[in-house]
Amino acid sequence: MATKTFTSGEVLTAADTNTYLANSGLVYITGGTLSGTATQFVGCFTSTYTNYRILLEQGTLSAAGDFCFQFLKSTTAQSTNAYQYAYARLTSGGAGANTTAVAPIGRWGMGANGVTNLMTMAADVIYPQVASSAAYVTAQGTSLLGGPVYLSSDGMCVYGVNDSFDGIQFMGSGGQSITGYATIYGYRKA
Amino acid sequence: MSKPQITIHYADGTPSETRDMTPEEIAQIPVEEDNA
Repeated sequence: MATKTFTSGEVLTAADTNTYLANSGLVYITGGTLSGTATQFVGCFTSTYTNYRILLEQGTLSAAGDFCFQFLKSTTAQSTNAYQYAYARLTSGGAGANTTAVAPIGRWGMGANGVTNLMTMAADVIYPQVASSAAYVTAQGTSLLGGPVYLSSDGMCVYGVNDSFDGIQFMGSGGQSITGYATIYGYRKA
Repeated sequence: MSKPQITIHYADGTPSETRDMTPEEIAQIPVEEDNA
C-alpha cells in the first residue's frame, strides 16, 4: 500500500513524490462541458482503474425531464434494454416524495423530472470496464424545484449483462438540449 | 431546422468536437414517456 510517513529532514525524492503525493485516492481522468442533445466522454474507463466517480455540476435541460446516461463502446452508445434502474425522490420542503422504477430500457436516468435546472449529481460507477461483470451505478442528485425548495434523488442502475465499456454519454430523457459540466475520476487501486 | 448535435470529449487528449448527429444517433434519442 502506497503510504509513508516522512520524518524531519528527510529528502523528498521525485519517486516519493510520484508514489506517495501525486497519487491521491481519486485521480482526475477527464472533464468537459455538456452541450447539444448528447455529450460523450470517450475513453474514460480503462484498465488503469476498476471503479469511478462522476460529478455533474449545474446541469440543465431545455425542457423538463431527467438526465439520462448510456455506456459507450468507443463513440457508440449502448442502448440495449440491459439498464435496470430506479430512484427515490424527496423534497426539502417535505411536500412530496415518490419513486421511479422503470422497466429495463436502453439507458439509466436520475431525477430532475418536472424541472429543468440545477441538477448536480455524484455517481459511483463500479466495474464499467470489467468484461466479466455487470456494471453498477449508485448515484445521488439534487435539483432546484423552485423557490427555496430542492429535490433529492437517490438511485441505482445495474447494467445487467456482463460487458465492458470505455465511456459514458449524457443526454436528456426526451431529446432535450443539455448544459453543465462533468468530471470523471478514477479510484486509485493501491 | 437545425439537426441535433453531439459533443464528444476524449480522455486521451484528442481535442473535443461538436458535430451534427448521424441519422443512426438521432434514431437513438429517447422519448420522454419512458421516464414519466
